[in-house]
Amino acid sequence: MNEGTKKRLLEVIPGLFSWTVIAAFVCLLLIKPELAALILIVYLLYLTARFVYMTLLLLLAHRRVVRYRNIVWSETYPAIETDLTLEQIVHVVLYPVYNEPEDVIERSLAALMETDYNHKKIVVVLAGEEREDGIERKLNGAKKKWTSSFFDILITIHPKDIKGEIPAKGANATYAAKKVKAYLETKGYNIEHVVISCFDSDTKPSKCYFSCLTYHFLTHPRRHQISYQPFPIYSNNIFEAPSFARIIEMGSTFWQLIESMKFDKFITFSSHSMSFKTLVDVGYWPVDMISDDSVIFWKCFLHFNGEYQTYPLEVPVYMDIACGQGLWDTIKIQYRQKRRWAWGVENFVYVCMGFMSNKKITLSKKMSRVFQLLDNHIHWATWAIIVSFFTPLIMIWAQHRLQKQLIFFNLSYINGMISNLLLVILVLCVVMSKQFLPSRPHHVSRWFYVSYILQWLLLPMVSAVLGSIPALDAQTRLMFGRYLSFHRTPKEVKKT
Amino acid sequence: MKNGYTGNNLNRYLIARKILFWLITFTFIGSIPLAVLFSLGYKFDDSSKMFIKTGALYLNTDPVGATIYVNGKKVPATSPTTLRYVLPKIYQVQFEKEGYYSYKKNVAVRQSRVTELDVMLIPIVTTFECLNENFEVYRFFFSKKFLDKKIILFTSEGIYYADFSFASVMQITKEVLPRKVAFTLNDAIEVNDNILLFWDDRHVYSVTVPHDDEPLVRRETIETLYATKEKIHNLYLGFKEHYAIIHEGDQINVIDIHNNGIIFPMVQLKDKNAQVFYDTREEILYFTDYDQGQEKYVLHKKKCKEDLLSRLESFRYERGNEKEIA
Repeated sequence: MNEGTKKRLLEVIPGLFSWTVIAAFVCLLLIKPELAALILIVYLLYLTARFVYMTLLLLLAHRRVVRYRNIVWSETYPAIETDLTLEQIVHVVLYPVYNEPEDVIERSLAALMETDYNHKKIVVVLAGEEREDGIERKLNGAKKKWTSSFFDILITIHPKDIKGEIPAKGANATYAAKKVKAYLETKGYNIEHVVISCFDSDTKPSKCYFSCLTYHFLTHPRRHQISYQPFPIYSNNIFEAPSFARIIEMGSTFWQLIESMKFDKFITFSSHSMSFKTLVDVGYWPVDMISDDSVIFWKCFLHFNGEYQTYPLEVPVYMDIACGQGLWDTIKIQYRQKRRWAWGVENFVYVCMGFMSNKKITLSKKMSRVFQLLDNHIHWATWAIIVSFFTPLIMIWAQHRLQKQLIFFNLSYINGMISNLLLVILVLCVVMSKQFLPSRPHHVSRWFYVSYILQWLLLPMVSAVLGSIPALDAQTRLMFGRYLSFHRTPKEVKKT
Repeated sequence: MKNGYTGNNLNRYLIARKILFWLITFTFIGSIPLAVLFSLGYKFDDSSKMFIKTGALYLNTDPVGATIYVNGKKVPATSPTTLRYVLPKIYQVQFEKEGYYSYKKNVAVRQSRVTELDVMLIPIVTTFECLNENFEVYRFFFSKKFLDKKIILFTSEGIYYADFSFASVMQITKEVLPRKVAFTLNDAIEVNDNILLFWDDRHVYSVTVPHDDEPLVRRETIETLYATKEKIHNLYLGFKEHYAIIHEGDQINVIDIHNNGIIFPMVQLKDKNAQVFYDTREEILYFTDYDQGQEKYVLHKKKCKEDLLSRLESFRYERGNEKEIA
């Protein structure tokens, strides 16, 4: 079987599983509704167990964040015993830019300046795309304004239509990283002492991001076999974003915190940092895949034969909630963004192909990782559809056709019990999410907090429409070979 | 932190996570058989030491909040409530609520089923509201009109209309129907053009109802519109309420409401047990009659709309064959 056929077969698997689950429910509902009800009861219990587990992990993660919140990382340096010195470390912060407003770039650079790390040890890279008109003028403008604040600001312009590449962030970042390598070598820097952070253009690192990152880079015994992942808080425009978008993005923050507690299986997402040497050794980010942020992890994982991990940093980065011009535009943009995130299912294919050719990773590790990937994506694509559509559907069906069967009565009873439990979890989430809210600006009314609490009632519907359905969409496209093209998420800085 | 790598802090979380994971996993796996048994209604019976399939009993009343007794034992909750894990057999269920008659019924609970008992409780009638007027009310009937519903009262001071709330009373005629006659009235019906028809077993009476803006200055006379030797079973308005269709004895006759003495025989029935109904709105006549050819009672139907007044005289049914005789 040739590589192409293997790849196509693997691309079918996740979508096939998800659709099988959904189709099985529909068929059972029509043919054997009592059995469907019984299976649904067991599934709801499973879901409850999963949510309880996730909530406990979230509480642990939250506790960890709170515990390390006030640490001044730079004060820990004198006590560190390590083979590197602080002066040897260079940070490269790479911003792939495409059609971003100038003030978004300005804001990100200003945020870099507010970090407590020595800015003269930071090289900023603004990576533009040739296909954007006026990109050179835009980036040169930013460079002119900020270059004196950092060690240097490099501008790279990624040529368009390079063979073998798709127009995506990964291709641009890789082109820029190669330029950075050449630059560092001319400056006489050892790339083993360089940490590269690839940030989305709207990313604002927390004040102690680089000092925390440096601490871990200096002290981790396998610094080159670790990616450093902060947890994202989507709060840059939280006061202006529609409520349903706020819930979705807060859910993303919670998801990352939960995943960070499974750090032996944690993979990189969005803005993160890693050893520049490792990046070079594995051949940079993929230039033909959309989910470059997670695929880079798998590249490193395969390169090191399974001995690669992601360390969950104790500090956050702040990002924008994807919004549009008006409600429907925001829904469209959110849907596309979630579908792009769900396109991470292409990692399954990449990982399986990699595992098939790698004989050094143990079988148990391979199976564990493959199962993790499949489970996450299938669950993502199906749970909200089953809970939000099938459960009420079967209860309505039972009401009209089979109302006297005890199983349907008990399904309704169990569903009620689970809803009450999930309500408790929801209240916990609301309380925890308050921790990640920035201070209310003067122009924002106090009523914002009322809408912030009430917005969580939208969660069941939002989970289905902007959770499971985009994931199912992505998997279905992969099944049929209708590959996703990269859609830039629009960002803007709202003037107040 | 003074010295060394903080990575050890993750080990604590790793241990905690693994404990949580396996605890929840085993709890979930262990709960599956219990959940399946619970869902199917199984209950562990102490006496037989076996799992028995049970049912559920849903009890509801209107109004809610009734105290429930099952086989004489009081149930902690009031209605509506659901009793789960009920062994499949017959139970005596009793509902008690203050101000309502007690309701008792035997209910058979089946396994794997929800048996519903949803009852309406009847209030115990202790107090009444009276129509406080100076006259005696002999008979009353309810107006059949869809709008402007009222009660027609035959009293010692004449005929009155009263509204449902007893708030207003309007006299139609000062002429008094003798008490003996009033007590034998079967029904009353209003005709569109302000005529009130009422009848007993042998007579049909009519009286003109004055318009709302007319003062009751004259004594409207009660007229005997129709008298018959046979018993009047029922009376319907028909032919745009110009006529009354009367089922009397074994005949169906049509009488002109506005002109005394105009009578048309519509149907000669074969059996005194025949039942007749006239749909006033659709102008359709229904009746059952014994068909000697088929040797059974047959339901008949005749649409009268197209039969205009001019054809009424010649309209007649023949037994078994529905044909017109000129």
